[in-house]
Amino acid sequence: MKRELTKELYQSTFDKIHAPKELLIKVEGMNKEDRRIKNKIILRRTAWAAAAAFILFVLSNAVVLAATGEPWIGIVFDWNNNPGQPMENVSEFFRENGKLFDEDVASAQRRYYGGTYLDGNVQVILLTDMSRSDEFTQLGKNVRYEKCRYSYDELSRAIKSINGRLAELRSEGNAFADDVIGMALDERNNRVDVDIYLMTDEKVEWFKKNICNARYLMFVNADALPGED
Amino acid sequence: MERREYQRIAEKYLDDVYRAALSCCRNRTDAEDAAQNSFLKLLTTDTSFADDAHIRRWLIRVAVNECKNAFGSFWRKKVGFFDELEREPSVLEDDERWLLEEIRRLPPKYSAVLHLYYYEGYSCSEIAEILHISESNVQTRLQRARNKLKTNLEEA
Repeated sequence: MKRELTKELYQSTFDKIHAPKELLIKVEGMNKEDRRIKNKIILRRTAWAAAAAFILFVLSNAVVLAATGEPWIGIVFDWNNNPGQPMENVSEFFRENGKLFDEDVASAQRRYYGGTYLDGNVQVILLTDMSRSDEFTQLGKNVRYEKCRYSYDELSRAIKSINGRLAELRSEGNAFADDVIGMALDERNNRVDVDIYLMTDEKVEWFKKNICNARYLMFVNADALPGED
Repeated sequence: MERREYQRIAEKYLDDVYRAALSCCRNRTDAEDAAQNSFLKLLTTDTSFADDAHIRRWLIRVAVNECKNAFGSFWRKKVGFFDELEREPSVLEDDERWLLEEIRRLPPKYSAVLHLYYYEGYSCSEIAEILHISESNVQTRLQRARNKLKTNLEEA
């Protein structure tokens, strides 16, 4: 049988389609203030948008995690820059390592103190929270405050942690660990310098993979072992 | 609009508005939402209507536009009213079942034009006004919709 589109066929087909009775009851019962329909649609769309945003959040973090070893949320909020060392456990760390710090800086202030250096005759004090600058006035008279990302405490703790791990590896005879010949806290640049003997990309990658991969690390080529000229 | 008048219009044109919405959205939930929103807008509009035909056309235009918004939405339902209708063998003749199947396979922009032309009986210029596209665009879509139906038929 040959079929074709005709007005009659179209109309007879759609004539058999009717709005549900419940819809008629709803429509007839609506009034000017009735926002239930719009609310229902908005709610449904909001729920879907939230679900989509959550999926996007999870997927994008998974991709960045696979590529960099750290989810982007961690990079943005700097959550996990010192793996294995809970950043919140500051007081315990101070009990053990308080002597590492400038005795003039009270322990309660150390979480904001990022270090200090001289810029000409001006003493620059780095702070993770600039609103706390009035707590550091005792450190000098000609002082300028600058914002920094990491506290002195955090960087020192990182050095201690890394040195501990390196010592373990050296005791196991790891050659890469032997090539990490120094660590230094660079207060001016608010970072930790890692001196690697005859530095190569391979050695840096090994360090990042096996020791620590954080943004505060700066790898420095050391072309002479301590004591060599 | 007075309450009694509104209810008369709802009873008279809800089916038409729903069918137009269904031909565009092609799923029952979105079509129902579009139809309800159209009547809600009728309650709140300041438009002065010349007659019932004017109201009908206005409602269909609003419903189609509501559906157009739903087209771009990824949350659009996948299960369509047509699927449900096709499971009712007593309702549809073979030809009608074939037609619904073919319409379902058309892109929504073609099925909307097809519905307004073949069911509502609007001219190309009226459809252009409803869909906010040019008259030549309407003619093109109409022609392509027919060609697609024809091609599908030949392939079948």
